[in-house]
Amino acid sequence: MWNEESDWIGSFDSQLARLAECRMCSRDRGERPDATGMDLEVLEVAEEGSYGRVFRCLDIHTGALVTMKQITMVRLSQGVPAPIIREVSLLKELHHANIVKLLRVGLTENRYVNLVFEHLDYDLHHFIVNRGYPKDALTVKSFMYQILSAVAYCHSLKVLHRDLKPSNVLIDHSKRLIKLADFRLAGEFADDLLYTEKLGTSWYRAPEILCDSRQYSTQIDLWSVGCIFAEMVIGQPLVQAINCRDELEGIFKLLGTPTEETWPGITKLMPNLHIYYPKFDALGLETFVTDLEPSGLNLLSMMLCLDPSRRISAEAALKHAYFIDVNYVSLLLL
Amino acid sequence: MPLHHHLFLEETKMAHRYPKPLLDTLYCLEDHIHWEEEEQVDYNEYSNTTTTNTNSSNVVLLEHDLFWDHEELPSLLAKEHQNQLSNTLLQNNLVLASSREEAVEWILKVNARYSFSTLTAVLAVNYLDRFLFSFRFQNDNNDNNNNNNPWLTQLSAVACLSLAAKFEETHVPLFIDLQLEESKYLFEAKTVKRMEILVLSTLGWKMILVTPLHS
Repeated sequence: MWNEESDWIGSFDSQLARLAECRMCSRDRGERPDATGMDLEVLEVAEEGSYGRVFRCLDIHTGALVTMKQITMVRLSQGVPAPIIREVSLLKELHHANIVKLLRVGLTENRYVNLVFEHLDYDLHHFIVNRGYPKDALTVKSFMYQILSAVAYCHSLKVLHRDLKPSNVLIDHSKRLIKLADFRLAGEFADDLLYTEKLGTSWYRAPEILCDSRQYSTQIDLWSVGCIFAEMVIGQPLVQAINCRDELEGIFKLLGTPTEETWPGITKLMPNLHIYYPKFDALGLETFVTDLEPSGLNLLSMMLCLDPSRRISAEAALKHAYFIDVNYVSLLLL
Repeated sequence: MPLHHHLFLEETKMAHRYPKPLLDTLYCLEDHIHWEEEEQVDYNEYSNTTTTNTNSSNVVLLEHDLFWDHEELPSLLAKEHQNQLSNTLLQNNLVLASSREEAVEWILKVNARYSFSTLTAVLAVNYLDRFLFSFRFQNDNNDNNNNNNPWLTQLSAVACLSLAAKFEETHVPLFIDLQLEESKYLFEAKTVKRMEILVLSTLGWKMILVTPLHS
């Protein structure tokens, strides 16, 4: 009896395995359930992270360059991890001209989820570094409008990006087209990101996250966009600290240490605020961000507002006077 | 007929889940008052005022109310649309219709056992119907395939409920615990895992009916 039952289980499990493999083949026109067998020629490893790796690849059928993000799955005894299901499902729902397109998803039973994205040749970080910075005011405005359009779209779907920074803003150089990339994994991976002390990771992080608040929302992305805005104008990150505490101090030096009046709720969020941080008076954004027209400076100040509840939304930002001539900008660039 | 039976089960479950007084509030004509009340509570919390138990109770009630109003209806409508698609399939295959009915009943039992949300059940049934439809379409030339594998629908149900729970719930039971409810088959973890992969690939990773708040 025991042997008989065991044979039966083994038999239909094997049958199911063949069925799964056959389905994946027919579904993806020859895609194999293998880490590298997705009809892609791997050209180089572009990035390595704790969650997996990023490859530059060539699509064998179309000849197009693509980016493949290979995510390592953990705790496989209980099937596909929940964060991956949520994240990939989410990416599948994002359809916007300014968001990088997820072309297809490949799965291997053993270890990886392979996400294949369209490839763009450049990112805003390299754009700023290699060109000094885009002094062209119209380019800054066009880029800002596209970034905010993508963010407003995501927020309308109640999706947060969580990790907006210049290297996650891709550029189709010939068209001056912006596409947001690298939506971070949510759930159990979020904590890893929140507390990473890697250099540069805290420079675009909203003060409510730097305060270790677990209650945050769409406003965190607007702070990041504000930091990107300032960086495009001045050619370097606004506050370049080596850890979260120093980043927060740099922000307070710039905008003033918050009080219950300027940020209602701050004394509850940070009871020891005035023990750990000196009481700075605001230096003012205009001191640091020169060469930005007054309406741009006004918009920037509404993005870099310490109090999340008073920070401007992406949707409202798109209607700001700074963008009053955006159609002309688009026409000029085309 | 199976559809009516399914809806009846769901209505019974609804009535059981929400006590009558709460159900009455769903038909309250003064929704704006509840809304204002919630705003006041938020403002108080924001001003660091102590929140009374009464306010907490109201907030909980309102959350249920809002959840029902804002999420259940669109998802139920989406499910109905999906069922129109699969209803044709079921009419042409009585054996499949029967096993689907059993699978749906099983999903509802497990959903109730673990106090999963209604949305989890809706998602699971949606995944199951889309999967069976797609699978049937691909195997149209071999009618005997499903008849020879009655376990396939039940295994699909386990995988679909697991995927729905992973998507929607904060805590998901182990595969083995998920199958404590009575059914003809008990599947190994690695088998359910493979079926999860098959379902995800078949549905093209389109697992969202209603976009939840993603944080």
